[in-house]
This record gives sequence, C-alpha cells and structure tokens, in this order.
Amino acid sequence: MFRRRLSLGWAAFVWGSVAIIMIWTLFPIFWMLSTSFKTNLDVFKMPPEIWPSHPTLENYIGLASGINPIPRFFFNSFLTALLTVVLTIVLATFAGYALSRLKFRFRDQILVSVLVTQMFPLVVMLAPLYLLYVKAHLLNTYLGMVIAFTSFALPFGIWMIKGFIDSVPVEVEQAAMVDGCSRMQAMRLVVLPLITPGIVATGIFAFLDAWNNLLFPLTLTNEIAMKTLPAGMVMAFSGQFKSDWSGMMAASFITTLPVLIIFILLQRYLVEGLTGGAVKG
Amino acid sequence: MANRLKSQDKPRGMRKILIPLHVKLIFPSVFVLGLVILYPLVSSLVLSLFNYELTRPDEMKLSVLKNYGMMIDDDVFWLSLKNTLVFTGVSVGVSLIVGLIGAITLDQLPKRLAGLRGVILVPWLIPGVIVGFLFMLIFDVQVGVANVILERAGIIKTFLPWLMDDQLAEIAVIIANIWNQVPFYILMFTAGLKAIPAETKEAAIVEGAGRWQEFVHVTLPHLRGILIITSLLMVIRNFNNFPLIYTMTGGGPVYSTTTFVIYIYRLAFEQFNIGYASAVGVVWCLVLLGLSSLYIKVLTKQDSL
Amino acid sequence: MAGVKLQGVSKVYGTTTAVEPTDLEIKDGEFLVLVGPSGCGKTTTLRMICGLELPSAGNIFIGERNVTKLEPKDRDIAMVFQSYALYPHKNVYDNMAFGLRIRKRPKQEIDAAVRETAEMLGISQYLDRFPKELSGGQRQRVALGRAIVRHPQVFLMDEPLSNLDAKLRVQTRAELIKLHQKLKTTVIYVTHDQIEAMTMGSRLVVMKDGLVQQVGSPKEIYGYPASKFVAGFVGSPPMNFIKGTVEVIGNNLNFQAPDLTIELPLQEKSTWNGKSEAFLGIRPEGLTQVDPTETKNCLLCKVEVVEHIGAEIIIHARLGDGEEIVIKQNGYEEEPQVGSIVKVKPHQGNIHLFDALSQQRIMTTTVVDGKMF
Repeated sequence: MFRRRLSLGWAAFVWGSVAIIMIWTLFPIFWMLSTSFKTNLDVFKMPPEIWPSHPTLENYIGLASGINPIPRFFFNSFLTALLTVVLTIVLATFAGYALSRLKFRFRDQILVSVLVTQMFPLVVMLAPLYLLYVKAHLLNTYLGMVIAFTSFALPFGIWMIKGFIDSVPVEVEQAAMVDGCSRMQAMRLVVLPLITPGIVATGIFAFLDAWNNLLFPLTLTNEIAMKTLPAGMVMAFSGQFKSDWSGMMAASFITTLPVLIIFILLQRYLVEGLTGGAVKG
Repeated sequence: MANRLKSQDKPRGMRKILIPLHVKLIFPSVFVLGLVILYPLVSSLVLSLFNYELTRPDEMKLSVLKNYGMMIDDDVFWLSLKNTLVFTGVSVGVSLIVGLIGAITLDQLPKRLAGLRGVILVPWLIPGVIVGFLFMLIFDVQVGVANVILERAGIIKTFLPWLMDDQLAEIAVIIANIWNQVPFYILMFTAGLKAIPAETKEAAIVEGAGRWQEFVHVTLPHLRGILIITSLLMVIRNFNNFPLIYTMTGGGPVYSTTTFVIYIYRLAFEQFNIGYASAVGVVWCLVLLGLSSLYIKVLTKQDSL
Repeated sequence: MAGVKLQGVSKVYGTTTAVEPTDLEIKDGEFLVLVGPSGCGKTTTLRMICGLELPSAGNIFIGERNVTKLEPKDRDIAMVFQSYALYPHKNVYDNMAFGLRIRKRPKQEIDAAVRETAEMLGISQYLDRFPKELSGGQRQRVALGRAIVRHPQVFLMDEPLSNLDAKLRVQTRAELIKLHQKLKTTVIYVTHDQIEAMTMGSRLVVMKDGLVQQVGSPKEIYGYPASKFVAGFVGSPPMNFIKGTVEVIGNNLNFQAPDLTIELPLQEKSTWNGKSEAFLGIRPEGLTQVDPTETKNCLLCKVEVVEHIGAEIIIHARLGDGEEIVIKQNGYEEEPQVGSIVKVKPHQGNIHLFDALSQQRIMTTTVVDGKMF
C-alpha cells in the first residue's frame, strides 16, 4: 500500500499528537499510583511532589486492616463478576444462537427490543426494582447482584454473539448434522469453537460491567458486608474520609488492578470482538 | 385391544408436549431482562402517576397531574435537563474530534509501536467511581495537580476552586468524562480506518488529492457509519452516566452538575419521593428516545449506503 | 501524449526481488501490454511507473521528464485499478470530476470534459447514480471515464477486465481497442490473460519471476518466442514440448526423441555443434494427421480425448514414451477415433528448438505445406 512522502509538518503533527495523547492518558494513572505511595501528610505538600520522597506502603496495608473492609468488598466484586461472566456467556450464547439460526415469530421484534433495553435509565428502574427485590428476598444477596449485573451485560452480549454466529456458514453446521450430530451437539462442537473471540469478548465486557457497576450495589444492598468495591468505596471515602487521599488512591489502584490485568492478558479478544461486530453492522 | 392401542396411538413425531427449541434458548435471557428491566420499567411508568413517598406509603394516591405539574415549576428539573444536554453534547462532541485525531495519528505509527494503542485503552477500563475519585483529587483546590500545572503554564494566576464553583465543576466533570471515554472512540475509529479499501485511497492519490482532500473525500465518507454508531452509543451512555458525577461532585455544588440521572437517584433514594422520581424518569426516557430517533432520522436520510 | 522509458528499474523487498533491473522503451501512443503469470512483477512494474511504489534502483521517464522521484499526482498519468476503486460516496459525475476539481479547473471546463467523456463511454444517463447502483460493466466504464477525463499523457491499467464475466470481457476488449485508436494516448496495460494480451497489445512484454522474458509484437511473440516459457505461455492450447537430443550431421540437425526422429535443415545462425539436450516445440495447429505409410519426421501416438469446439477439434494423444501431445485440426475434417493410433507430422507453422539447460530458443524452422525451410 502506497505511503505518502512524510513531510516535516505532518510528522510533527503526528508525533506531537501521539505524545500529547500518551501524556494525557497516562498522567492521571501515574498520579494515582504516586499518591497512593505518599503518606497523608505528604499529599498536602505544596507544590505536590511528582514522586514521594519517602514512598510508603502504609496505605495499602491500611486497606486490609483498616476500618473499611476493603478485602471483603474485593471478594464480593470478584465473586459476583465471575458469576456474571458465566451466566452472561451461557444465556447470551443460547439466545444469540436462537436469534441467529432459528426462525420464529417475533424474532426481529425480540432482537430490536433487546437492543432498546440499553436505552432506558437504570436509575429510574431502581426504585421499583428495589421494591421487587425486597419482596423476592433478593436484597443483599449475591444472586440478586448477579442477576442485575447480567441484565446489564446481556443485550450487548447477545448482539455480539449473534453477529459472530451469523458469520459462520450454515453449511458447516449442516455438514455436522449430516455426519450425525444433533443440533445442540453441532452448536457445541462446531459453532462454539468458531466464535471463541465473540464469547471471550462477551465475557470480558460482562466482567467489566459487573466490576465497574455502581448503581446496582449502591441501591440493592444496604449491608456493608455485601457491597462490591465501587459501592464500598463510595461509602468508605465519604464524609471525613474524603480527604484521605492516599488511602483513596491506594484503594482505587487495587480496584483498577484486576481489570488492567485481564485487559493486558486478553486485549486481543477485546479489540477483535468489539470491532468485528461493529464494523460489520 | 382397542384400549391398548389408545395409549400407544400417538401422532407421528409428538411424544409429549414439545417446547420449541427457540423458546428454550431464549427464555432464560428474556426472563432476566424482563425481570430486571421490563418489570421495573412498566412499574415506574405506573408509579409516576402516583404520589408515592416511601416514608409515607399510606398516603399513596393517584395524582397524575401533580407529579408532572411539579416538574414544570421545579427549577432543579430544568437545570438538570440543561446539565444533561450540556454534559452529553460537549463530551460527545469533543471526544469525537479527539478520538478521530487519535485514531488517525496512531494509525500512522510504525508497526512496532502498535502496543501503544493498547495503552491508550486503559482509561476506559477504569471504573467510573475510580475516575471520579481520581479527578476529584486532581481538581482539588488544596492538593490537586490541575491548578499547579495551570499556574506553572501561566494560564491562571491563583488556584481555581474547581469543584466548588458552578461552572468550573461542570468543566471538570466533562474533562474527567472525556478522559474516561476517548479510548472507546479511538478504538472504534481505528477499526473504521482499517476498513477503508486501500485501492480507493490510492486512486485518490493518483488523482492528485493531498492529505486533507483525501481525508475529506475518502476517509470521512467511509467513517460515516462508524461515526454515527459510536456517537449514538455514547450519547445514550452519557445520558446514563452516574458513577462519575456522583463520586466526583455528587451533583453539586448546588445542583450545578446534576444531570437527570443524578436527580432521579437523589429524589428516589435520598428524598424517597418515588412517585416524582419515576415521573422525571419517564420524561428522561422520552427526551432520550426523542433525541435518538431524531438523530437516526437525520443521519440515515442522507445515507442509503 | 508521451512515451515512457525505464532505465535499469528494479524493485527489491528485503531479500526478494520482485522486479529485476529492467530497460524498456514505450513509444508515444503505443498500447503496451505487460503479461505474465501471478507474481511475475508486472503489477509492481506498473505501480512503479504510476508512482505508487518507489523503484529500488533505476530511472523512469515520461516524455522527457525524469519522474522517478515524483509523486503520482505530478506525473500526469491516470490509473484504472482492478477493483475500479470508485469513490463510493460520490455519484458518477463527481467521481469523474474529482481529479479536475482538485486541479482547480474552471467549472465550465470540468462540466464539458465530464459530459464529453460520459458520452464517449455511453454512461451519460448514469451521471447522477452512485457506484452501488451500477453493474460491474458500468462501474468499469466510470473508472475508465475518471481516467480519460483528465487527458493524461499515459494511461495505466491494472487488469481492468478481470472482474467482468466472459462475454462482457470480450465485448469490452474490443471497445478498449477502439477507444485507444480514437484517443491515441499511450497505454500500459497489465494482464495475466494471454488472449487479452495478444488481441490488444501492439507490443507485449512477457514477464516471469521479475524478469522480462521477451518484448515484441504479438506476431513475434507467438511465432518466435524467446524462451520455452514464453512459447508455452502464449497460445491456446499451449505448445507441445518433446524432450530429446540434438546432433549436427552435415547440413542437417537431427533431433532424436524416443518416438520421433526429425531432420531439420541447419539454420545459419545456430551455434550448435556436437550433441546436446534440447526441447522440440511445435504448436498443436502445426501438426496434422498423415497416412500411415509416411515415414519421415512422423510421430506415432494414441488418441485419448477428442474435444469438439465447433470450428476446431482438439485431440489429446499420448506418445509411446508416455508424453502427451495436443493436436488441433479443422472442425470440418474427419476426426480420429478415441483409442486409435495415429501418425502425425508437422505441416505448418514453426518448429522450435530450445536448449534444455538455458531454456532459450536456439533455432526455428518454418514449415510450409510440410516442407521445411
């Protein structure tokens, strides 16, 4: 593919932009880290140090032993996120397969309405949802959280998996069925392996949605012990604790870390999954 | 003999009541979505017609007009409408431009630096709450770096009370939001750029188009679809944005950063006025639906490609 | 209007040489075809002339100008891409007007040029349609129109017919030739289809593995191929090759193969002496059935497949030692039975001898009515 001759002006623009974007992107994260290693007093130094002269781990240690049960929040987040991933993948795969391969009445309407659910404000629905949960004894339960998180991640997952299944030629499945598979077997043995990127991407997004979600745990749990990290942190760093900057940053970093790790390990699938579906659509 | 035949006399292919496969597969998803979204949706529509305060459940009564009427006089309601539109509009608008520039310039980088693109995505992964806390720190008047940097650069003379001033707080929140969301735009646009056929670009080059002309006549038309989808998705998402604003300013100072979402939340869970909250929610929905359909209509009219 | 000259132009990618150093002179107004199998370097060469690739070495001249380092837009050339590469979001009119608009030509001029070209190509009624709404053949004309409208010095075409169906291809071929006669602009045309090359080019450049095998008119290439490759590439069905040994005996060259002995008059320019290995090449239409009583310069073979194509009959047969040969005969004459043994001998055309090692053509004997010259 032909590349134009690089002019000085263009090169300056490109490299300049990239540099600015890089700094703009990474600086806040760096600042988060740097602050987390400062003592509370150091934070108030003016002008603030770029990197603490006496870095300390006391904030991180404090997370485990402090008043706020951060480890418990972490556990809750992790558990609910994982369960959400599993539930979302299973449900989305079934629904995506049905919407892609099977013909039935209302198919198009269901497809559209699945997408439309994304458009409604969660907030509004929280009040009645809260009441419903109280009656169904789902308040403060892991199950309740997981169902709520899944509902958030499902529409996108269904849409993505359906898109991937659409791109698998029907003949391949039919060949399998001629060879002796039942429909479910064909789906499991032939289709699933071919849409792995879509499944992984769905799982990643489900995890992200569950891990990052604030509204659901904020309203659907009132017991401290059941809160997930985002809700827990809001509660922990309110009032007088609002100026415990270094502690806040340490907790922030811990909250961010799993997501970062998952991303680094699986970034290939994320990009492939997201762009594969979108560009085709 | 006749009796025996009866039990075995089943119609071909039907042993018992067959649940069609598609129903089995779809049902669980529909159930979950129905439970968590549909039911509350309908319910809140109903509730919006009532005067329902959680603290005084006995006084629940039908007062359709009261709720909607209250809205018209409610200054906070109109403020939050304005804030929502400003927040969404500026965030999406600026992010589109920054995202486009980002995607194009990153695309120009040599292959070995492709890893950088992965790094760019990080802000988007961070939970909204954390972004809120982070920028709360950065914009803090006492310890925040924002002021320090701006002062050093000579842009301001004294430290600005970002989160305590009406307009500055709005700006701060929008900046934090842009930081959070730009990676998504870059991701989508990068995919879009890759989908442009090389030969069309080459044809433009042979015809004599310069970089800018190539951008206007080849790149942009091809990116149109992605631009529309991305901005629509993000408009919806920004309308919904709760964690960032709630954590960073809680909607303050004095409602200046309160968007619809925040307002509804506080009505429902701090003032416990569920009826009114639902009513505002309904209006929120209508505004969003209206905007979206207008959006789609305008943009697909010129485009049948 | 200008000619094109290549001096020592080559292209190397890392350790692979896509195009070997090449010298080529294309006259003004000529229709030159670069032809060869996939990967032979013809498209790379075209792209270097266009400016989309930078030569690793050498110079390119268009007219008197050295354009080697110039950008495509400054070379005054136009290119028709294999996929047409139309601007999908512009209608036909704007597609054609784009290049002129960039060059800031006056509106009147652009309009006149576009309409005139559209008229010439028969696409005037499609001017406000979009590429999406056009058929393949129509799109191809728009691509052509886009190139013509700028009146460049040279037209470059990269396999423009390969995306068309067979019938349309034949039709468009003739139209392109007529167009060239009318416009008289230099055309450099790339194709892998040897029939296209033979029918359209005033001169052909046959390429293989980055190397130019031969440059010449279709008649030269067909009748006097420079190498075994060129001989086998051009012509359908392809030339027959029989491996054997060659020995000079007096005024004659004796070619000996397991089932064939041929005596050829020694040509003045041949440089053989002694014995060497060689390939004998003779085209299918050069052979004809003869009476079993004939003995000189004959081949005995067994008929395996007989194809009727109407005006011609193609006979696939096998020689005694297992090698295949193909004979082409008039469709109105009687054909041999499948399975029968027939005797054939050269009766028209050229018999070529190719050196087994260098694959180059060493000697050609012309046969007329069975007599050798």
